[in-house]
Amino acid sequence: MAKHITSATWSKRLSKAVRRPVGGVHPDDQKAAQAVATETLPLPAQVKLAVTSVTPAGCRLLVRPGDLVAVGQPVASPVDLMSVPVHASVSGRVLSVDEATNLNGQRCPVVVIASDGRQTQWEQLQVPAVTDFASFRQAVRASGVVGLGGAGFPAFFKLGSAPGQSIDLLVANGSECEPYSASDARDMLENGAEIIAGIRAVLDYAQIGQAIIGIEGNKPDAIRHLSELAAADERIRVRVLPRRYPQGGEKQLVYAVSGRRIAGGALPSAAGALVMNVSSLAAIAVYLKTGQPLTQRRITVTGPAFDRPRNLMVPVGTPVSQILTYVGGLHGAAASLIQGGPMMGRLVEDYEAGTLKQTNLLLGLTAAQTQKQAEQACIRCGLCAEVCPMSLQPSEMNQLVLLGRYQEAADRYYMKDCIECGCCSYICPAYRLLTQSFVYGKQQLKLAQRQATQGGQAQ
Amino acid sequence: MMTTGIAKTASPQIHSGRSTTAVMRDVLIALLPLAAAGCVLYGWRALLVLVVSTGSAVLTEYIYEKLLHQTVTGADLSAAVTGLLLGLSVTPLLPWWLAMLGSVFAVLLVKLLFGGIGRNFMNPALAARAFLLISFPRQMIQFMNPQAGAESLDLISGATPLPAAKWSGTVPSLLDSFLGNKAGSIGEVCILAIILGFAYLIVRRVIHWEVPLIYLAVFALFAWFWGSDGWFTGNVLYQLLNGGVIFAAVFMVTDYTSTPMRRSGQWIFAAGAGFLTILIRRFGAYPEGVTFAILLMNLLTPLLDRALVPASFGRKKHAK
Ligand code: SF4
Ligand code: SF4
Repeated sequence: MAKHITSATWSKRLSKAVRRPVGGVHPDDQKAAQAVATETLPLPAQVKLAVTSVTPAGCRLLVRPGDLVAVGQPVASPVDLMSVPVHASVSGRVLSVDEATNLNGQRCPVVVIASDGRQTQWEQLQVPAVTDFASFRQAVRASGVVGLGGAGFPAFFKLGSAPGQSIDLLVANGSECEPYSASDARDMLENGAEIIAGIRAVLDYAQIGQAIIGIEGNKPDAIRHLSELAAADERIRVRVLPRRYPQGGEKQLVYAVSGRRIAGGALPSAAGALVMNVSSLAAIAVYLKTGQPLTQRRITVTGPAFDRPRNLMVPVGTPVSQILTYVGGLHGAAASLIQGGPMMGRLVEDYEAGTLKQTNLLLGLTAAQTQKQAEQACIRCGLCAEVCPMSLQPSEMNQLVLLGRYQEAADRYYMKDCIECGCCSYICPAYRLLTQSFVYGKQQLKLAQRQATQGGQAQ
Repeated sequence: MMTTGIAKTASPQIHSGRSTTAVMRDVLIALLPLAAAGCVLYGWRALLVLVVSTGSAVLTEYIYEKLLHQTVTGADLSAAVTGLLLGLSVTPLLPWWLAMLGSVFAVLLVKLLFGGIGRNFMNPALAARAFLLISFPRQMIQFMNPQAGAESLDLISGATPLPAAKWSGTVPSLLDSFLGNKAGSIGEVCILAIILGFAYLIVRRVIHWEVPLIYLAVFALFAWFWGSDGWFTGNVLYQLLNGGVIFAAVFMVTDYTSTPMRRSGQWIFAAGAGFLTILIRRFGAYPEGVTFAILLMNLLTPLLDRALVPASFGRKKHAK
């Protein structure tokens, strides 16, 4: 579809105001952490670096137990086309490299490093020589940067394989629409210059004409600060987005700032757009300037189960328990810890697991908040469909999933287009587990597909 | 059921806090001014009908679920809504045992036997009213004028304002019609109270504002077309203010379970029901067309729901 639309029509569309979102809900913002300056977590005794890769076994381990490593030294490097390296976040001795379960619940090799407390920098760190698109892309990959807003998708891969062809718009995602989250908001205030530098680097090397920074209206300080910084470069503009969840979803964000609609399953590039998280852009800029790869990041620790909101600069791989000890632990019996926001986050089961590069929020919710009511019968109120940002029919899809008719849910009601945002479950007055059932239904579809292809191969 | 793999602890972790009970409570609150007006106008007889119809609806559901060892869902208040709707849509002179019978019919036969809340394809209150209308026509069309004194019963058998017009009799003034100072069904006479209830439902986002209006607009249009003195001579205001049209527009055409789930379907439903209502009023055997018009459209609901599935965001057409 996008092919038939020239850049001229695109830019005409761009001049229009921000689009009204499709669907969405308004949970309470709870952005108290936005006003809290970042502090540095005391160095943990050890870190646990999960070597996740996009494809199975996409990374090769570079260290063995007993090895001495320094900060910024790669401990795993990619062997596939999509994954990125993992760097040591402390200096010290490698204790083990065994397979374990990471914070996301995936099995993968985990490099455990005992810190020597000195934080010695790796002597081979150097500023990358970037001259063209290929070397830029390589540098972004070497920086180890992934989508720091929570998605964790390798940043370099989004750049595509060649510059300046189909993509004409960079969207810097500063919407941070999940309640409680504040890490990007702090980054925009504390690292604004790096964010702008990252945007300019992407515009220059990927030969993209313009950039829009999308920020939700509940961050007036960040909007003001970045507008001032962006004023120097006419290619960069700041857009204020409505406060609505999931405004920061890739498709929702691109639609809001440009009016281009990205269908389910399609990538932003299909609509000529490249979406990158603001913190990721800043991390790229830091690597380009100093050669320092991504070894630490800001994690917001907040929620009613903590005594006060905090923003902590944390080495990647710090065990969650270490952070909990520092902030005084969770208060209240049966309080639960979520990594990520309350709409899409994940219950933390193992407090000894290390944080990931994309861990942006540790949320402590009280038992009363997370208590799930028993499912009741659907009353056909239609609210779920009204709030669905993808214009799906959750009520009908849910019925089909419960009957085991996954394929029909996909064919008739586009279940595969579900972005698992949680809006439908959030709003359903009958407390139906809608989102949860689509996650399950989509898994079943994938499973069936895999079995079908394996069956085909066996014959 | 194949629900074992659905993770209960998965996100979202939070909920809007608005439950089915809260929605139903809002509907009950919206019905309160109607019930109050009915009791003020018709006295203890109206109160008795409302108490019996609501009480027996709730009790029917409770006993049924107890006997079948199901979870008792009474807390969701939906049976109370059904009973109260039925009570409000009948004459204050209805014998108490008929009010009870109607509620048992609505809850047991129309709702529970079809699987309970959300599963019944017809509006239970309307189906029960139709049932009573067919089985007990004499008791159903006996109305009374609003009373001033306690025991001065002014019976109007078979002559509600609506049939009166059809067979030319005395007709209440517009103001009386608006305030409910006339003979009619308990909750249908006082338009002012219905408008209050409507406003509350809109503020609480229980219903879509345009759905009742589409119903009324289509109804009014054809009421004007088919006047008693030929084409385009209909007394629209009179048709609107009398009988149960406005009551049904707000509380029956917007019922969740028996009308389409998506707006597009709801619009078609409302328009169709409006058209059928005046069609039956003008040319049918019954003086009031609301009940059968909406029940007929209820039958189309599954069809409308299936036919009008929009493409998902960013898609033009169905990509199979
Ligand atoms: S979880 Fe899926 S179905 Fe539910 S609102 Fe989000 S996109 Fe729509
Ligand atoms: S929100 Fe819940 S009750 Fe309402 S239609 Fe959707 S699934 Fe049914």
